[in-house]
Amino acid sequence: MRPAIVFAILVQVLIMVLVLIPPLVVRATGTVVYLETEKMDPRALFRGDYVILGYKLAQGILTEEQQRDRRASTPVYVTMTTERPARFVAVGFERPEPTEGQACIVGRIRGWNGSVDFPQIAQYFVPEGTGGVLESARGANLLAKVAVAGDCRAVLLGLEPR
Amino acid sequence: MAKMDVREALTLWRQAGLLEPGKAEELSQYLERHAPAPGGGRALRIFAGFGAVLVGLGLILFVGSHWPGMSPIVRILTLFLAYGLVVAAAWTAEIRRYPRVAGAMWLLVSLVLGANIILFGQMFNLSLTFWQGPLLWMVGALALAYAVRSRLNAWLAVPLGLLALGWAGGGHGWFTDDQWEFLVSAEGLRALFAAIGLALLSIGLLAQRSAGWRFASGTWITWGALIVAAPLVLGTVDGRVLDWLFRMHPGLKHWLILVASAGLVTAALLRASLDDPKLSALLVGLAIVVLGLPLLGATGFRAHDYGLLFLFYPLAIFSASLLTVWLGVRAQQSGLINIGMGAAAVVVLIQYFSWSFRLLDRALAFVLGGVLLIVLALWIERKRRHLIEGFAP
Repeated sequence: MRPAIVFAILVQVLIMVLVLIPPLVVRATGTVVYLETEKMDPRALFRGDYVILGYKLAQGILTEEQQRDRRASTPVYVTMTTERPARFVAVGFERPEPTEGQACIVGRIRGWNGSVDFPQIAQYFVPEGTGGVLESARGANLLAKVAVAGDCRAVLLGLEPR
Repeated sequence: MAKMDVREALTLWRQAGLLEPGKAEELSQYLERHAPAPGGGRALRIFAGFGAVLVGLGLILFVGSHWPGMSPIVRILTLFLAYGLVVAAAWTAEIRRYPRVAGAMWLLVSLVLGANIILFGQMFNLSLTFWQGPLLWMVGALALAYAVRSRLNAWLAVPLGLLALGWAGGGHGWFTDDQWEFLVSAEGLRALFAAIGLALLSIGLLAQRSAGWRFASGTWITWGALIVAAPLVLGTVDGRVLDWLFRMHPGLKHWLILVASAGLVTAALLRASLDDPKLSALLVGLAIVVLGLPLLGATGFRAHDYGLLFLFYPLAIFSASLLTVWLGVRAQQSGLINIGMGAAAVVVLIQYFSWSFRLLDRALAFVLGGVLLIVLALWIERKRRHLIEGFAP
């Protein structure tokens, strides 16, 4: 095989590995937290069905002062306990240093009601046709199992009954 | 004498020092464009390309629908195995000297790369507007395009770049329509498509100077011209449409795109082989229009408020379309000729329908519109054939 082709194939394989490594590292080394889900909304898409998740502990947590300082692209860090389900501890614009029994997830501000979204764990892909069943279990009855890294990145592992 | 294909012969001569690398590339490009294809070459390329796309789609759907029964490790291994098999098939077609099938298979390699990235994203529940996905896919497609001099892969890289640019830092990515928000919102790329097209056109002109990328220059120039032409031509409908198209709520991304576009035009003017001052003047004029319109849109300027001024706009775009045809003839790019003629025809049609319903009886307006369409089609077909036949052999 010509060296240029070998190099191009290696670049493509490296790209696939690069996509895989960050979530695999978070899954393998992250702290597991269980978050109460707030809402679900199944949609059929090219990638299969998925449900949209909101998280109860991230609703209405920003103070008025924090909302005044808001910038749409500014990351927001939410600290929570590792209990099952997790409890809200703190929210801020600086990356926190969670103590024992705590974890943090990075998100962004949603709307004007002081709520925070976690885009990286907002979508959960499910087998074709099963979105509706999950929708009926919406709300606090269903917990999201999330692996969280030290730098507040998160990967959604699955959904479990409370 | 041993039988070998042209590429091997060129490599042999290059290695023996009988041929400069640049000259070898030039000869290879020339043959690729002008060598008479064996019977059914074009049809073969279309069939093979279409087959590659179908296999790619089938793979995504097959693997996607069988996810529930597989563990994550098995899923990952399956995807890598599928990729390895397609690479092996492409390479086999290449060494067995089926160049058209090999070309389609190299495209399939990049399609499977994209499918794998999307499916990895699905596996780890990554957001729908996971912009790093198309960006990495584009890098992979470009690497392969360069390695096998694949115009199909160079073609694929353009929509992927647009998608990555559109999704980066924008959109919510929650609902299906959020994924396409960047196409229509003032915070997205709506006002910047022409500027992005200009940047792509400049990259295409710069690629003409590079032995390694010359194969892609025509593809990118055509893509660039198309992306520039679409919003400018659409804007001839009405002053309000033009205002909407170029209204922008700029953020850092928008300023970066405008600066990058201006930088690439400057680089093309300085480094590309623009031996004709008229061509440079055309590029400068185009840059002033496509970079100026979003800047005016950001300041709140409304073309609709200056009715008389807007009357000149369709005329300017019609002239620019004809200049594009001239550019296509000079560069021997049939894609540019098609875009120029298509744009000129659309401007004429838009103007006809804007005025005729006000001035004529409705039935007469339709009849004359139909006649105009037929005459335009005849003119385009005749002129296009004449211009393309005039290309150097």
